[in-house]
Amino acid sequence: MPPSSSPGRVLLVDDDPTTLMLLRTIVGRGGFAIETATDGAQALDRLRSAGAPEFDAVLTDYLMPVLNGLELLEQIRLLDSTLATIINTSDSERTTLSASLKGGVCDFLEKPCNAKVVLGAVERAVGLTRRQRSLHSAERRLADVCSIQERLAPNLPDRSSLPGQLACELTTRICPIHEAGGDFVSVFHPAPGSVQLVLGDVSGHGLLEGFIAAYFQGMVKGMQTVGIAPLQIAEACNRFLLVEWSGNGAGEVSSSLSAIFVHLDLVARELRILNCGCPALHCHVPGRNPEAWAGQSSPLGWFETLNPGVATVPLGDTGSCCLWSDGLLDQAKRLGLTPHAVAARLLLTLPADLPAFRRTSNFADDVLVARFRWFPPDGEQPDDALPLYHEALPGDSGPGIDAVQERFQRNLLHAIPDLPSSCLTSVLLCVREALINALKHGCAGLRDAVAHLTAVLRPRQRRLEITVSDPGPGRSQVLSAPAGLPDLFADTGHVSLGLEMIHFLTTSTREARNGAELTMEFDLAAA
Amino acid sequence: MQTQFHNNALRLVFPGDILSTNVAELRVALLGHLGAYPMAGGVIADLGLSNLIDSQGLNLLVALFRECERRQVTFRVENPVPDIQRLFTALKLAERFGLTPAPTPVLAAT
Repeated sequence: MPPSSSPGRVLLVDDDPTTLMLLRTIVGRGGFAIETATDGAQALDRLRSAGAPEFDAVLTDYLMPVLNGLELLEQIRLLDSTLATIINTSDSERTTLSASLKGGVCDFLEKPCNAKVVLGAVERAVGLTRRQRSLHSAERRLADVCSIQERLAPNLPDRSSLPGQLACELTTRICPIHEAGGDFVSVFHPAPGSVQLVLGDVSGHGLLEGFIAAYFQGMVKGMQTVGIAPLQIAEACNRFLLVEWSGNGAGEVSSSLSAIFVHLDLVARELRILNCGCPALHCHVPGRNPEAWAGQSSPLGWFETLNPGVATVPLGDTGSCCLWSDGLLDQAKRLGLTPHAVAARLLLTLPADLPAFRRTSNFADDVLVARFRWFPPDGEQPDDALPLYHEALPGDSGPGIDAVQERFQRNLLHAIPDLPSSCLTSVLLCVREALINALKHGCAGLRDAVAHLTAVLRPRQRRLEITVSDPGPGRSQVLSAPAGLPDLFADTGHVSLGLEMIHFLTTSTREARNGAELTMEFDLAAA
Repeated sequence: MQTQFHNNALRLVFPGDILSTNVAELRVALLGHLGAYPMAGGVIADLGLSNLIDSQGLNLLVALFRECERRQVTFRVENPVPDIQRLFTALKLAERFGLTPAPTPVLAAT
């Protein structure tokens, strides 16, 4: 809202005609437009009929019939919380009115009125109203920017099909720490069966970065639309940041832009990545540990020569990949969590719940996460496995198993805060038993041998799936599901009590490589 | 590990989870306490502070049970959390540990 050049419009309220006339004369000398009312009810009528925003201040008596000054003030706050109100009172009334300071009164005037004091109070009240309205207007505009940024973050399914083409789904979550931020995502379909995504992160966070992000988002989208290749787009942005923007002699804009370009070719079934300064992209294919691709690169706007991370990843029939801005890495580090757990929590949060989540999460930087899933277009229900956790453990980690368990628990509870406690106990016991077995037998306690702990959630089925694998040969004979748990008091010793506990505590288990890879499933819906 | 000797019974209060990483230490402590109270006619394992017992922890409790048998003193477990009670039941330990049967397991094998 632009500052008004007029002195302002003031509503004077007093049931004493003489006082009202006197106030009118005094305030009128200040050049203010004046309206009057002889009691609180009449004042409210004026405010409602003309619209409270048409007034810049209210000066009211305290003791009046129908509505006293304090009751009028309460009603004004409901109509327009920015409208400053002055209460004219005697010294004896002032003590009883002290509570009204909390109710938003702008000032008190002491009877009898002093012209200079009255005029000064009205000028201050008008100034305060205008400042508050300007602030409210800016807040509304910021909220509009945030809303636009959220709407620009796409969540689009692509189920169109060419022969042999995979289908894909994209989910994004954007969480600026203020109302607007410097992260953006742009999606473009250059041809059927082809999706290009750019995730960008302008250094810094706030409205300025929101503007710069919007600038680059438009620039990138425009270049994508006319078929310019990712590398050329990156070079153009780099040049723009280094030469045209920062070196134009009109004052530097010292921003940098991290951007990752992802081309999903659903016909050739490959993912092509060009990364300039963003965290690595993480791919998850069922049956394999999550893999990071195309990390280690510098942002645009740093060096004249680009140093992008480049990778081409075969897609397979089904899988997913996750990419995020470095704000997510910061948040994970701050909370002592893995990025997978933080990303999973965001992706599991419904868009409508994001503003509340953002307020309680105390992010230190803007956070953006995007996730692609690909799957056969007309096949079974697509695999919706959402990676929550992955840790590679050297074979000599056995003595530190308590710390591993504690880390795993912390990440699990962050990603799934409503995990039932009985399920958590079962999960922790099973993970512990499986890991001890993998480290002790599969890795033979050797540092060079590595065991993997991976957890994924299938949100649609409310099923948690945890895999522990080791490089060993497994057992000579695959263990079938036991009919019951062993009798620990039987004379024949049970060498596999841990494994049999796992069979008891899980909903189901799967083994591969003679048990060197054990997958444990937990039905969260049943817990 | 805290101990109480009352009514001719030795109460052993386990200080927390009973896990592979602390069973050796707990075993030494248990043997020390049993040796310190040779006159005890019964042993009570108080698990009120234990939320997690892994396979090696279970084996420790079974070993404690057997040691009590060898010394011809009674043994029972008290205050297990529901998840642990369910595990004892599934492992047919509940009765031997002097516990009443636990409710049906929440997560049963399919």
